[in-house]
Amino acid sequence: MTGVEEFERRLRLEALFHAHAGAVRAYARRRVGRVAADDTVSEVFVVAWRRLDDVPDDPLPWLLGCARNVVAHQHRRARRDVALAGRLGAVAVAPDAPDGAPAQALSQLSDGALAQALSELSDGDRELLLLIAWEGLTGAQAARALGCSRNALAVRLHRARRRLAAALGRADRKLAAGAPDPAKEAV
Amino acid sequence: MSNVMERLRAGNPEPGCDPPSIEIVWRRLESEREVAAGSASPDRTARLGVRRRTLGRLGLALASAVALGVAALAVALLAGGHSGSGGAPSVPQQRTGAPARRRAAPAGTVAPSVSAGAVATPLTLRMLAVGRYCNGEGMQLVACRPGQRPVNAHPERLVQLSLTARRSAEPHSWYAWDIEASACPQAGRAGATLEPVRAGARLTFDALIPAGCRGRLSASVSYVTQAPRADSEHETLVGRRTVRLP
Repeated sequence: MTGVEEFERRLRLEALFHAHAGAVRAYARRRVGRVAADDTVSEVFVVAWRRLDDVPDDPLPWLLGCARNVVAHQHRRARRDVALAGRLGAVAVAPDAPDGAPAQALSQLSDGALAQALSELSDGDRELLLLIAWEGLTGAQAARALGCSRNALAVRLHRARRRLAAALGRADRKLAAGAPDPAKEAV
Repeated sequence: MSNVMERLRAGNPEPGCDPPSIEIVWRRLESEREVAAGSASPDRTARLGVRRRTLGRLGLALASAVALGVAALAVALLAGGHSGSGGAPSVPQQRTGAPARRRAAPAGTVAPSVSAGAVATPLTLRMLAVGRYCNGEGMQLVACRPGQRPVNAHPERLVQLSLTARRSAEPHSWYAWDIEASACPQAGRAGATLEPVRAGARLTFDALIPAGCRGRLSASVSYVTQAPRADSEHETLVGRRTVRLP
């Protein structure tokens, strides 16, 4: 790679970073917490640097898909470490952040019923709903981030919304009946 | 249902976020380059050499297999030709009855990954009484005898996860387990088998959950095999079970 090419690539990455690093950082903060979020952001943009020619014209879904993989990889590694530590120490070990992504996102919610309802959803349903509601992706963008067709996404989104509505109804009724707030209980 | 999405949007804990400095990316790239430069060592060259030799062997095996296939086809065609005109019944193909060749771990350093079908088995999750528990034989938790020191400072619920191992676990493979309570993340327990496990053995793992913990309790067990790279593993799900804490 010549110096000019390297310079042009740097400029492209900088433009990409300034346009979307905030969104990627917000996504990462909701999933891995504030401390580890910047590490995730840097890893995502290192991947973008290596695959700059693969970055599409609408890069946000691609970057969030990448961030999703990075976060999943971090969690797998954390779980392996926990398993290995347990194996070496012959004792059970309590992980710092069990199944981090949902736990992290839900622990930040002030709406206890919403946290409870989201925790009852499958990982796929929750990720899809959060990509649309929190990351502000359109259906087409979310489909690209999750690697599925727009039709498949429309069906999944419809079902996920229905499940969330049902879970939310249950959680609201439970809270109204005077049951302890699950979010507070978790803390 | 649009109200649901509105409520979800309103609950966004990080609605906006300033981008960090791009320096974090350049620093990371720089450190990765330094690591890569440092690892262009004889070790890496040796690994590449092994990879090339492996590819060479694979190519040779593939070429042999193709040649054998062509030869077998030619023999079959010739035999068909000798048997006369097209109406003759073909000889049924004989099976040797030889067992399927097992993927062997190269030189005892790694174990091959396994399919989910080979290890999947139902998990049993028993919820025992809330109380103080002591170490019994084989790291199992049991009710304390008089004078014995309990492992838990406060009364806790003992949860026992058990399963029948369908596959043996050797030095390069093991069963990893994980129990977590959705409402009490700090109560999660995880671990793995330490000793070799023979197929058919009953495995039991214990976890203590705080007495006041409610909600879902989920348990999962995986069969883990060591992968060629020292820092990676193949993980195959053995089973998953979710119950509601009483």
